[in-house]
Amino acid sequence: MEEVGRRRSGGRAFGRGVLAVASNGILWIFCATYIFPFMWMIYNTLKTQPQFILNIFSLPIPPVWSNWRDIFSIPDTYSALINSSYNTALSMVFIVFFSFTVGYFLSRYSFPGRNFIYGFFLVGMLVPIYALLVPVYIQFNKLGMTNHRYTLLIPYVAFSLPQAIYLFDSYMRTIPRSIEEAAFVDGATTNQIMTKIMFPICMPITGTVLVLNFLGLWNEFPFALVLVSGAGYRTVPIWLTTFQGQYSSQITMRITAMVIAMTPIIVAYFFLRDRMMEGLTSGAIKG
Amino acid sequence: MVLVPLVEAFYYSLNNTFNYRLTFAGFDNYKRLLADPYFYLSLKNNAIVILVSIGLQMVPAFIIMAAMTTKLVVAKKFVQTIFFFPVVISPLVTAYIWKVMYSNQYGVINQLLKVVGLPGWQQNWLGDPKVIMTSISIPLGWQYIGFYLVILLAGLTSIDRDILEAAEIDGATGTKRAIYVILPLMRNTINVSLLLCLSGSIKIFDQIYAMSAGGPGHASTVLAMYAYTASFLQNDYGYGSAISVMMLVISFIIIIVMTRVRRATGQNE
Repeated sequence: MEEVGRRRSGGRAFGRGVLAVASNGILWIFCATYIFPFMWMIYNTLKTQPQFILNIFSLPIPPVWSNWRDIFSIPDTYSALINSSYNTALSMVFIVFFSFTVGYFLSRYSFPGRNFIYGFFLVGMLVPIYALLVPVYIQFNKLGMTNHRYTLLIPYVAFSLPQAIYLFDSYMRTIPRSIEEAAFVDGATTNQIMTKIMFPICMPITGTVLVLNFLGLWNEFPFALVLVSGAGYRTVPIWLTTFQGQYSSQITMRITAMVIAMTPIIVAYFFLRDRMMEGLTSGAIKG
Repeated sequence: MVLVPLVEAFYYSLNNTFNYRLTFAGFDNYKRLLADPYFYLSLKNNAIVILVSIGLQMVPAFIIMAAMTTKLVVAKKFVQTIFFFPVVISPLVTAYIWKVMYSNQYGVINQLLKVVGLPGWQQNWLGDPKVIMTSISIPLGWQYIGFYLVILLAGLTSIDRDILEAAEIDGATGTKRAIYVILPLMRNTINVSLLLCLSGSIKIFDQIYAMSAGGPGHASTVLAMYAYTASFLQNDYGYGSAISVMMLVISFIIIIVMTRVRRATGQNE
């Protein structure tokens, strides 16, 4: 096939060569614009403020760790990281728990109202959650639920459920019922079937759900901003915004904060890259 | 089985938007909204964001994807990984990164322009109302190109290899092949991507908040930002709710329009 192309384009072979170099070149420059900002940020965390002002491009020689030391000496840093981890981890557990259960019942049983519930959650996926920011805040305020340990868990779980349920449900439908029927005949209870058989089978999709939600929840900003503004309960994104105000002249500190905020995601990306790509784009490709 | 009603009940309550004021005021908020120049400004900015998103995210993604189908490009997996990276970074962090880069004193952009010999192009990226929408658009495009690239690449696998090769044998090279063969065959994937792009653009909030908080003045406010400002900074929850409801309505309208268009063009085959 390649040869056919070359034969036909005879004298254009040279043109093709140049085109190859050019397109590859452009693409690589493009890639560089992606890599550069992150590299620049990382090595800038190792400079002090005066060094930075002197020349923003220079490499830090010798590297200075003061920024990192200073940031970690502020208790806020730790509480932000802990809060984010707490919120994200607990939410993920609840999300998997609820969506697996609901998905199981939706896909395996038909009962009156089943379609309605399914449609209900499907519509839930369409609603832009930012539009619900204000009403949710008002409700939480009236009920006195802002600024608590558990405040963010509720919207986080509730808003992630539609998508998770959809994923579990679709996946479960593709699993033949014969396994469950066999187990049933052998005398297993519903509970046992669910936990010992279905759940292990659903590991792949559970993985996807976990990854997707980890991403979304760790980075989540508007609800954290609005519902939990008290100092002890801030999550990482909010903590990041405090750096813009308080330390706005200490750019190296700001950059260090950003790097800290990015690190968990970067680590996760490194290990779970394919799963992430698959999960995020699965909604678009299913056709 | 107790779980389902619980979740339902909570979810349903979240869906109730109020348009109340502290005193009941009927549709006053909406009337005010429709007469509000800032509302239309936000709408306009949102429209700009939508157009930019399509132009700066999907178009380059398509071009890159097409380039990758030819045998000119090396290291495809690597490119894919690099481009997809910003997608997973919080939009907030991305915005902050670019904010630092745009900065007047420490900014990479201005410095680079100086080095390259274009000092005339330096400007106050985030402080000048005329430039601000451009400034905001760039990170937006930058972040999500990879997302659409991955989607398109995946959609590409649904096209039969034979068709592509047949086209190439018939003399359709590079660009021609991309436009006349690949594009129509990927119609479904492109439609879905477009829908995702649109719905994402309407909701945009994190980046705007981080980079400019809607400013300078109101120059870069978008709908979500305006709702936030009205509700939380001006303490006018009723008005903010009205804006939120409008956002919902507009989203639904756009989705419905898109589905209609999709059905219509689909049937034209």
